[in-house]
Amino acid sequence: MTRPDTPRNDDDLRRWIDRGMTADDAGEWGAFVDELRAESRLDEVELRRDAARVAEAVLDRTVREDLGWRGDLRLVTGFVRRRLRSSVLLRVAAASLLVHLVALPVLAVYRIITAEPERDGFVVDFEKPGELPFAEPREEALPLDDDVALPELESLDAPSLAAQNERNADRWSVFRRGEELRSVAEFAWDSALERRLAARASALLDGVAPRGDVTVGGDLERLLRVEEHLDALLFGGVARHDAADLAWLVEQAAGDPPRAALAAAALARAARYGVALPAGADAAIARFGDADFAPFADLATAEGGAPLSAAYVHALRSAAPAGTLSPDLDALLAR
Amino acid sequence: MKDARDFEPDPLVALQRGDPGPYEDWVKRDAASFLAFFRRLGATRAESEDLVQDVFLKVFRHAQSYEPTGRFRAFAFRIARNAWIDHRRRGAARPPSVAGGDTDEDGAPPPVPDGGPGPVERASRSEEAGRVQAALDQLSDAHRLVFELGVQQELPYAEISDLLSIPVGTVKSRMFHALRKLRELLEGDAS
Repeated sequence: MTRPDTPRNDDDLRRWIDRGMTADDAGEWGAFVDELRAESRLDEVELRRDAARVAEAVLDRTVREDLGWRGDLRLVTGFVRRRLRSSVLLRVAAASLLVHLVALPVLAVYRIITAEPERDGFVVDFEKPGELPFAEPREEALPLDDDVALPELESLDAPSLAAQNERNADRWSVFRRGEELRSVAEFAWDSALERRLAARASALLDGVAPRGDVTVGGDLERLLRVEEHLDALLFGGVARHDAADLAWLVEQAAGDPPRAALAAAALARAARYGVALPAGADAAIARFGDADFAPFADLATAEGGAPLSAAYVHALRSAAPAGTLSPDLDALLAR
Repeated sequence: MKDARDFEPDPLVALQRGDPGPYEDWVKRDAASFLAFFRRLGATRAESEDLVQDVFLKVFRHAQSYEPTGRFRAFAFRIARNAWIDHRRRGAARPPSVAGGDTDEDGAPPPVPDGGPGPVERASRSEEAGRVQAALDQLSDAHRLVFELGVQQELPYAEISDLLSIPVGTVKSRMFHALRKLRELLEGDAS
């Protein structure tokens, strides 16, 4: 490059600039500037190509703007072109997309052409019966006894549901009053009647029949025995009273209370347990509605009719000789 | 300094009258000048194209509010200068790798034009052009703009002064310092 090497370079330059950098008296500085222009000139071909492209793009968006779909398309394609030109990654992604889009129909056509003919599809139908590979088992009827009967139906003591429910209620009453009955069973009683009742309480608590080694004698003995026979029904035992006892109760119930009340109460309890009663038992039980039976009316209630209830002991004290049942019995049962 | 372009109709005035012809002619004619303007300031090929489009579109949008107070070319270059300043502020500018035979952002060398210089001569020119471009890169933005507008675009001082909003004396001073700096850089590089 030319080197202005005169000592007055700066002055020459300043003067030349002041004169407007004209070409007439450019001198060495003019030559220097010309060389700068030449060396900083860009590739003309490339510049012209780029300029043409830019000019077309600008004119398309200005004076030639097509407001129709062609103009929109041109805008979009121009945008896409500029963005693709500015990013290598975008060009790679676009090329990949193009390959996939072109390959997809080709693959689809290839698949269609080379596809195997369709086989018969599934058919849903019922399987027709055919020969079984084995013999079907033949069932033979079991021999049936001619006199098959349920044992419960033959029992004279088979209770109805109501009778069973009554027994369950009295059994529950015994359980509920377990502490009081335990006290009675364990107390050291003096009289035979008290010891008899204590044995009955113990038997009720244990669910067994009383040993019967204490007797009181007289009609009370029979009354107590009938009640103990009825106690056996509470725990699944069979009734051990007989028709004579029941008939005797009907007879006693026709008499005067308290013995009649005790007899009627026994009949009522037997009826509740499902025991078959002789004729007249219903009338005897109905006497609880009489006025003379009023002091012993509690015997006809569910609570009073339970084994060794307080109402029962009250009636028994009235029927027994004086002093055979101490007040301690009431106290223990009333706790 | 007046040239033939001074006697051409103002494109925006013509647009205001409904005549797009002068604007179209101006775009086609000066697109290369503006491309070179931005390229020499340091923009890449793609950046230059975007900037030039931006300038032309802004000029077009000014049509309705345009009032001709000076030369249209100075007006257009003022818009170009502002676009360049905005571009630099966004930090998008990169120093060009090679001037003259500039590469694009992919680094591809420019194609050899038919009938152009051979490879050796192009290599020699490319080397010298690189030195000049490197020296221009070392000028400050202010000096470089004045150099570009005055030397490359050959705008008169008055227009440069109006365009850059500086006094004419400052334009001359910057031109003086720019040329002297370039001389020192190129001579020192050569030695």
